[in-house]
Amino acid sequence: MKRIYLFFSSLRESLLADLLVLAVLTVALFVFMDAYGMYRYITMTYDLTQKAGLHARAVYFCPSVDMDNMETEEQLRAIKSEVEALPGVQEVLIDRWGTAACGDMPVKVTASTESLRRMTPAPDRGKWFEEGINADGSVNVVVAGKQFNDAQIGDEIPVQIGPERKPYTLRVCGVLSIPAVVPSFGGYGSQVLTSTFFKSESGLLIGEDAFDTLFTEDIERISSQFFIDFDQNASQETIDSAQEALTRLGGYQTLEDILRDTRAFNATTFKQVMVRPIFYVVIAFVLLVSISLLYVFKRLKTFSVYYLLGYSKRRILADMAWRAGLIALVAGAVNFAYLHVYSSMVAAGKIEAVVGACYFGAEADGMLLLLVGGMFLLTMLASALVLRGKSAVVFLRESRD
Amino acid sequence: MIKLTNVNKFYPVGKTNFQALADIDLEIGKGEFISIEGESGAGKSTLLHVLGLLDTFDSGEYWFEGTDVRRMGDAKASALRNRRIGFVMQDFALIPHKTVLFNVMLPLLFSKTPLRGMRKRALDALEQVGIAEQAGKRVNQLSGGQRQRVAIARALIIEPALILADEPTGALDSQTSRQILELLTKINAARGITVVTVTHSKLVSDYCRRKIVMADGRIVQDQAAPASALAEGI
Ligand SMILES: Nc1ncnc2c1ncn2[C@@H]1O[C@H](COP(=O)(O)OP(=O)(O)O)[C@@H](O)[C@H]1O
Ligand SMILES: [Mg+2]
Repeated sequence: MKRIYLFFSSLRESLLADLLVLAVLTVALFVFMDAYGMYRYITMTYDLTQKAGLHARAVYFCPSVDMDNMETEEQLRAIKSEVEALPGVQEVLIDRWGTAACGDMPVKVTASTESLRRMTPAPDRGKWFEEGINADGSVNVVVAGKQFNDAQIGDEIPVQIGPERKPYTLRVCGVLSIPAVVPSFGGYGSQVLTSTFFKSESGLLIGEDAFDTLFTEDIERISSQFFIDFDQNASQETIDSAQEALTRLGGYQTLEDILRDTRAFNATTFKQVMVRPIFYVVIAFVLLVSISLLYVFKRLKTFSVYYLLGYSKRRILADMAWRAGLIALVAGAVNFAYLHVYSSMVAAGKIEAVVGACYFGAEADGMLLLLVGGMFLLTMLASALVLRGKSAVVFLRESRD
Repeated sequence: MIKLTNVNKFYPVGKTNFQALADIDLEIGKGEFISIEGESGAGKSTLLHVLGLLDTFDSGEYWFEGTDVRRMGDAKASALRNRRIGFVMQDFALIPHKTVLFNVMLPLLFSKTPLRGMRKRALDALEQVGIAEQAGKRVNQLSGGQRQRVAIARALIIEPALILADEPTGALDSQTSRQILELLTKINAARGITVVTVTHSKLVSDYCRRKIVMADGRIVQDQAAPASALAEGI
């Protein structure tokens, strides 16, 4: 009670400075976290691609087929079989999907193979299923994106598939929240980046066995590009000849080149997106420390009186820690709310986004904690150094002269 | 009540040490009224700070009311200071933009005393120094003499064993000085609170029964032995 009275009576003295520090800190953190989220949204595909565990010599392949032709799908399948038969080819990663009716909405259902699953972020809620189909015939599903953001683990989603609208029941095991980035091989160009392999969209991800049960070949679709991974033990000649065969069937880029180009692109993005916010944070740090020092100097006289009356050095430092801690806590809480409450509301379509697409994962939380903790420690360190250099009496004397 | 044996204190100055207190042996009994005199730089304030547990020393012993102060950390020393020692400083050491009442209550706010009854005790203390009617004013609205009374009330509120005063009349005119000294004398006589005051004013030392003179960090003269002072009675 007394402590609180004292705390607030001293808080009043520095209220303006405290509010200024709080505002600067909150805004700087916000700008930084927002930019970080944007940067991560752009660059997260690099990490996801690496997680796929493809070998260094893997390639991203674009078959040459006539895209406007009715036979595109057949051509693609033919080429796929041809590629799979090439010596040295270990796996063809292909994106297979079909469309189901969910209520009166069409929804994309994707076959999540082992390799594709490695490229997919971990569900934000729940987890990946072990079995594609349960004993009772229900199909396990990980739901993704806006359309399914409110789904709960264990929910059942009725869908109908095919021209006869055969009904199936899908059981929710995991939820991938916004941005719900999932592998989707549907682009090719002169420069392929890892972002080419992903799409942020709503959909249902089910096991490969379940997919084969639900969709027949005439209603499933396959992507117009695919990844080809080579056997690690294959000789260079074998792979060279396989790649030569690929050149006849279409175009390809090596994963190595793609990763290198993406790194360059990410570096440029970093400069464009992150440098300024980092600068703001540094400014906020400097401002925070200077205001804190100013605060300590300004209060030196008060502290000396407190000390005279039996307020120990430890308690004086503890008071400063409370003040700095409270400021860091509020600034941290506002930004935490931005990271979680705001983004999940945007994700669920409850409010309009006021900033660009962002990705905040656990590492964003960690980053925020690091910044807030760092600022707190820095403030304390600066304040403690001012007081420590002098024995209590020195500041008693100095504040008097 | 207080016993210092062979106390030495050094200030680091550049690479060498400057000896601010040299072989201080000092015994102070309960109820004494002592002045410490000496040239500027003699070490009077340093001694007062050591006595008041505000500063440490490098060798020797200091016993305060039967406690070995040397082995105390800052937290314990601060708590002891809070309960037993009042200060009256030349510049008053008040918080100028706060009210008189708040300033007087401050030592109790730092102690374990409950909030209830604190206000009454502060008003009582102000009554004793004769400025109860100023309680609601901010300190920076008061005159020098009034401020020093507030400081004395703040010292009194804890019912201290010892009041340490560092040139308490240094910022006051002679008439006001006399009033402050009379107040301190009255407190010393009526309540048996030990008063040690640093001064270079003849006026102040005239009020004191025991005179200590310092030079170059040493006690060069100590006019009345503590035993005889005690024998005089209070
Ligand atoms: N922090 C310090 N560092 C170095 N020297 C100091 C320090 N504080 C005081 N002194 C020196 O110690 C001596 C005694 O100081 P002080 O006790 O204030 O003397 P007085 O109160 O008798 O004028 C002076 O010479 C002063 O310059
Ligand atoms: Mg002095």
